[in-house]
Amino acid sequence: MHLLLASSKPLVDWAGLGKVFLVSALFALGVVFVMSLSIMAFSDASTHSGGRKVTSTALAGFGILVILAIVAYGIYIITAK
Amino acid sequence: MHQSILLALVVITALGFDFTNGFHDTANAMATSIATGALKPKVAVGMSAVLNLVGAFLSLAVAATIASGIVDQNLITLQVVFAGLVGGIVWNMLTWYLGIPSSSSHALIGGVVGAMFVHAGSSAIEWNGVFSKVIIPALLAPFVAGSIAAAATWLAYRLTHNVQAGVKSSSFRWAQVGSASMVSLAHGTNDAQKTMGIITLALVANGTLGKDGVTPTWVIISCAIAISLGTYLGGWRIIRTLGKGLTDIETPQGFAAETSSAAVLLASSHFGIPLSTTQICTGSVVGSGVGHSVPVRWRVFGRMVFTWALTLPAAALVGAASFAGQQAIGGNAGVIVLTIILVGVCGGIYALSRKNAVSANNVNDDWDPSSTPLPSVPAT
Repeated sequence: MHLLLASSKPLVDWAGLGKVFLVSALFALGVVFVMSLSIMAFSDASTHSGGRKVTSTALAGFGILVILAIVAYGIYIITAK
Repeated sequence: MHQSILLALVVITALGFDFTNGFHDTANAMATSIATGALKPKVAVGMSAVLNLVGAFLSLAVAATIASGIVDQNLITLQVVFAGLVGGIVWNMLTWYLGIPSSSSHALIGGVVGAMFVHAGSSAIEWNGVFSKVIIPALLAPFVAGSIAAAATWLAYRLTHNVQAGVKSSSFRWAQVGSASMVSLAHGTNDAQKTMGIITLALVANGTLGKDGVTPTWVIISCAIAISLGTYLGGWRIIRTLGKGLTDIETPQGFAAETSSAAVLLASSHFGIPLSTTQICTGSVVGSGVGHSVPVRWRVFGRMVFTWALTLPAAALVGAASFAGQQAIGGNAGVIVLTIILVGVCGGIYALSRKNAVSANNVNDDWDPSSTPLPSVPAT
C-alpha cells in the first residue's frame, strides 16, 4: 500500500474518463436520435403519399446516411490507433 | 531445446487463450441481437466471427503488451507468461461454465500478476497499475456504459412512441445488426491484439525477436484465426445470461445498448482509458432495462459483479500455483505436466457443461434462474 501512497500519479484519470463519458454519450445519443428520427420519417412515408411521402423518405434516407458516416468515422478510429 | 519447447507451448497456449477469449466474448456483441431475434443465433456468431477476423487485421500497431504498467517487464520470463496464460484460460473456462461474462484481459493480467508474484516478489508488481488499469476501470465501466445506454433507450422509446409497433421493431432490428457489427469489429481489433502482444513478448523474451522487433505475420494471422474460431463456436452459456438473464430486451433496447457499448468502446480506446469490453456491454444491457423501466434481475447482475471482483485474485492464485508447480517439477517436465493438467481441467469443465448444455437451439428459451449454474452471492 505504501507504493500507492508514494506515487504522485493519480490512480484515476478523471479527465480522460470524463472525455470518454462525454464523447461516447454524444455519439451514442446522437446515433440513437438520428436513427429514431429516420424510423419516424420512414413510418410517416409509409402512411402518406405525394409530396409528404417524398419528403419523409428523403429525411429517412438522409438520417441513414448520417449514421453511415458516423460508422465510417468509428472504423477510422479503430484503424487509426 | 528446453527453451524451444517452452516457447512452442507458450505460443500454443496463447492461441488457446485467444480461442477462449473469442467464445467467451461473443456475447458482448451478439447477445442482445440474438435475444431480440434480430439475428438467428448461428448467423449472429458467424457474422461476429468474420468481423473479429477482419478487426484483427484492421490495426496492426500491436498494443503495448498486456501486462505493461502492471508488472516489471524486465523480469518477465517465458515461464511467467505460460503460468499467466494458464490462469487466464482456467478462469475463462470456469466463468464460461457458470455462464458469467467476465473480462478475459483481467483474467490474463491476474494470471501474470500471480505468476510474477511467485517469481520475483511483490516489488515486481506495479500496484498502481493494477488499481488504475484493472480495479478502478472495472468499477467504473458498467456505470459509464449503463447510464449512457439508459439515456439512449429512453430517447429511442420517447421519439418513436407514435410509430407502429411492427415498423419500430423491424427497423430497430436492422439497426441492431449494424451496431452489433461495430462492437464485433472493435472487439476483434482490441482482443486479438492482446494475444499478439503476448506472443510477441514471448518471442522477445526467447531472443527470437529483437526488443524493437515487428510482430511476425504468422502471429497476426494465427491470432486472428484463433479468436474468430472461438467466436464462431459461440459461448452460448454467456450469450444466454447476457441476452435473457439480466432483463427482457426489445429491439430498441438492443440497439441503444449496442450503440452505447460501441461508443464507449471506441472512445475509451481512442483516449487510452482501459475499460473492459465485457463490463461495458453488461452495463449497457442493464442500462437498457433501466431506461425502458422494465425489471432488471439485480440478483443476476450482483452475481456478475461478485465474479468480476474475484477475477483478478482468482486468476492470480491459479497463475501463482501454476508457476510454483512448474518450478517445483522443473525443466521440460514441469511445463509438460502443467500443460497436461490444463488440458485435463479444460476437458473436465467442458464435460461438466454437457450436463446442462446451452446451444443455438435453446439459447433463447425463457430465463429460468435454476437452469444456470451461477454461484450464489455470499450473505453479508
